[in-house]
Amino acid sequence: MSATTLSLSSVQKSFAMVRVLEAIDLDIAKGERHALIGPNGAGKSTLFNLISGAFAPTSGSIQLNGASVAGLVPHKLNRAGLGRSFQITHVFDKLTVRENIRLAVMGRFGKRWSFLRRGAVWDEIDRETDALIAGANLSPQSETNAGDLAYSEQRAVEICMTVGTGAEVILLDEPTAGMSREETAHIITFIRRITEGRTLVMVEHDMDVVFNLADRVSVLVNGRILVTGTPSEIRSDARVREAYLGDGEH
Amino acid sequence: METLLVALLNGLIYGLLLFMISSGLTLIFGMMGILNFAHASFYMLGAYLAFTAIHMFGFWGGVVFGTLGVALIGFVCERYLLRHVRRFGHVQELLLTFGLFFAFEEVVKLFYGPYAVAYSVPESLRFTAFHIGEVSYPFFRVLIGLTAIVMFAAIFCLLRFTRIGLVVRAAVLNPTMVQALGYNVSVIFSAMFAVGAGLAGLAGAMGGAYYTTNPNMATELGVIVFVVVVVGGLGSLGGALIASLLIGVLVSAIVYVDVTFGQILSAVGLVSDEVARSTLDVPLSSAAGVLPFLLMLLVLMFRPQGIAGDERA
Amino acid sequence: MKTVLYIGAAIAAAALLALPIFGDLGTMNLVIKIMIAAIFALGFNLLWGQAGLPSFGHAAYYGIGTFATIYMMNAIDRGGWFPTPLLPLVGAGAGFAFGLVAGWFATIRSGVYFAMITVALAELVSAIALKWEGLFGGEAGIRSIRTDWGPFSFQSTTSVYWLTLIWMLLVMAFLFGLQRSPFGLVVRGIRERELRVRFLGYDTHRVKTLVFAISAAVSGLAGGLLAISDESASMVLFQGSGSAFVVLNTVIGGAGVFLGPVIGAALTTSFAYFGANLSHFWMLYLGIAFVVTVMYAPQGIGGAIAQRARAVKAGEKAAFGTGDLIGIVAFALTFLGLIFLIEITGTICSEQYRASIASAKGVWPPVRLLGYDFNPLSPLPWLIGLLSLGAGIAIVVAQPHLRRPRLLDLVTTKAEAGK
Repeated sequence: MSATTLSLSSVQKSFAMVRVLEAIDLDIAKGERHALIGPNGAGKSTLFNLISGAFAPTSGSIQLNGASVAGLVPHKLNRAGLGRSFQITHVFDKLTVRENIRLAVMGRFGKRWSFLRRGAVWDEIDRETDALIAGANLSPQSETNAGDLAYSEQRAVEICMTVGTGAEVILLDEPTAGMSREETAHIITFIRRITEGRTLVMVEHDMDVVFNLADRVSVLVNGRILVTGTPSEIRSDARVREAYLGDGEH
Repeated sequence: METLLVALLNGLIYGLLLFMISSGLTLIFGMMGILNFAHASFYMLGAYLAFTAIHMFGFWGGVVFGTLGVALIGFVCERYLLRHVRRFGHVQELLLTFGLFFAFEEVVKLFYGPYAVAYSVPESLRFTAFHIGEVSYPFFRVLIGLTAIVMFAAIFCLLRFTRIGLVVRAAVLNPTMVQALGYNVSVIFSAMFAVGAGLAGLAGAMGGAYYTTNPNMATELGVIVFVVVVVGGLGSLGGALIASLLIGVLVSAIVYVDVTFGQILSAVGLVSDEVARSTLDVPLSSAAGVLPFLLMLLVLMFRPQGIAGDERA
Repeated sequence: MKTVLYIGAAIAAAALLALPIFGDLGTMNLVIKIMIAAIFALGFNLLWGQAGLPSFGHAAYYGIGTFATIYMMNAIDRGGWFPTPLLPLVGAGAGFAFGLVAGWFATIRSGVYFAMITVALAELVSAIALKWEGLFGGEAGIRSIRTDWGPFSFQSTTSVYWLTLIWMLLVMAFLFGLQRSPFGLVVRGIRERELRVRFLGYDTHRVKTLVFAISAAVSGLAGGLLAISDESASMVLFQGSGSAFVVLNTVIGGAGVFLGPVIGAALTTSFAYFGANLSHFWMLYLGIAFVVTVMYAPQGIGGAIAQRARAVKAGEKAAFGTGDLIGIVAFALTFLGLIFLIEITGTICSEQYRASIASAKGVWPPVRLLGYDFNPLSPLPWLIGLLSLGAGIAIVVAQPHLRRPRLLDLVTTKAEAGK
């Protein structure tokens, strides 16, 4: 495995008196596609929210390329190289697809405070925006308001935005939730293509998606990581079968 | 010492009056997400309705009439106006109540003219409750405070110990869920709105008699009530109580502090005694009007959700 | 459709250019006031329509702009070097500086919290202005005079007119450009979904603070023009009605259309100008008009026009149909009924009227209304009022397309105007 990008060590999180996560240790390598799975209530969402900065961990450290990112506010976290997408689509309904994605790309090129569209950098921003739109097969809808798109298209816009910020580590929260089989197949191809050369961390329920897309999988049970391994290792792991796959999911 | 005690007592009672108004505002917000700009108008309407009815039904009749009349107005506003703009979102509701605030003030001017009316405490209630040293303390002021306390106790018991209270508290936390459980949330909303308006009307009927009753009273009080709910935390009764008392006492007490801004600044060493006695010879008490706002800014800086607020808003 | 727009713009431009030649002084003063109100409303709408932040305390920045400009005018009068035509920039600068501080506090929260904080901040400024007579001149206010600059004389109303017109066009160009700029896109993104913008790496609190400050600066600029026009300033500027009027202008005109606030400013300013002479109760009519707008045309007049224009273009609706005619009739009847009820009630409740009853030994003198005398004790005027009002409302209730706001999506029109 190559260098570690995202590293969690003994991360704990309690809400009031309830400890939801205990002593999570997880290293994710650069360029790896990593999936977090586990039965409901295992703490996947909490872990995801900790990594994405929605809450700060109660104790333990979260490091991105060696620098601590635990508890950083969202915009600083994003600039540190971590981009998240949302489970419920968080696109800008009343902006066009192009505007949605351009908003993400602009920030990446440091044009967060720009009042004028001057300079060669805007050509680059437009090129990048167009490339993302084309990559998501959204070119015909680029001037449509994002709110008027089909659900799976909105998800694609959402993922394009996360990628568009130039984040090195991309967090996807159930990217295929609520999609038809056909849409799912399409989005998997899209995610694989777009995350080429980046690190991906995702929470996903659909085992087909997980085994299809992920390089490594961590199984969370009762707030702990039960096992981390390649899809084939996970598939053949007796403990996982017992704790998770065994109880009626397959 | 005695004057300070009187000042504190005045502040406490003013704070309780503020609480009578802000409690309704904060409950309605917590439940429906509506920030009712016209809430202070209900205070004004309470005073004017009571003043109108006093000739027919006597003072107590007037107070009851004011309270019930304003509750009815509140009900009509919710049922026939606010409900229709709800689907356009909270800002549109805010705008509507803002328009109502504007219109109520003009309606009052239409009937009663632009100046204060002669609404005052009846002779039979003008006696001294007790003495603090040399100062005699009027009974009516105490009565305002007692009304507020009784009212708070009543609301508290209603919310805490009855089944309706349970439904209302649940609706404050999660209206959709309560609807899903089969309760008619829109009836609860209308009723809550009417009760909140009625409380403000009661406060107006009592407070208007003691303080002044003029078309400006809604504006003057409305701003302070907003400060109260920002400081206390929108949606929280306890927060509203603490903030009301805090602001009431602070504003009343500072009037009795005999220090000028110049003296403070020269004591710290920022300006010379000369400047302190000339240009900066402004008594600290003149800051009474701005004190609530400064308190609000401090709260915003250090605890943006308010003393007892949650992070929902 | 475009041609209609261009023709309209050309007519408006021609009227504005021709006014100093044909218009009398009164009309010119009115148009100056309209333009100032329009600039103020445009600045306000940057915050309201673009950023989605409902401010109810913008009078503070307007008033601060006026006072700052008056002080600069006095400095020029005493021999300062500052060019008179650039005076509004002093107001803008003061508004901006103050807006940065106020905006930092107000934008800590959003939605209704933001609204309350702006109210309280405006009240804070108002309370300070009331107490600090040395700076704000107390009840009397402070006065100044316009000084000529180089070859330009600024003594006539016409010169003020041209100056105001030029500044209004500059502000429009600036705000229109800002709306379409990359920064404008960020601002609209915040209006739509602030959290998402934060996860895209933007510090939204700083963006909102800056938008607030720019909005305050434009308001201050409008205040500066008021100072130039009136040559005086008083603390009345800080009172709540100033903040209320700019909300009224923007909402009645339509926050979602770029020129909506201008339409609103023109309507309410004219209404105040003429209405104040016709009735003591013009503010009540304005309040009712506002409530009706919020209920039945939440996107405002400008938004309704834009929507109709789109429907006509798509071939869905005629530019003017029988439905509109019925609507106008219903509106006219309702309004007529309201005039009767309000005017007669207001007149007989006034102290003046009671005094005239007393002097006429108990006889109620007639109330003059629309050129006729009515006896307030006879049922006739009340019947006219009630029947007319009832008929108007009955038509509205009977017409399903008038009864409820047609699914006019406020936010859609807002976003579309932003493009």
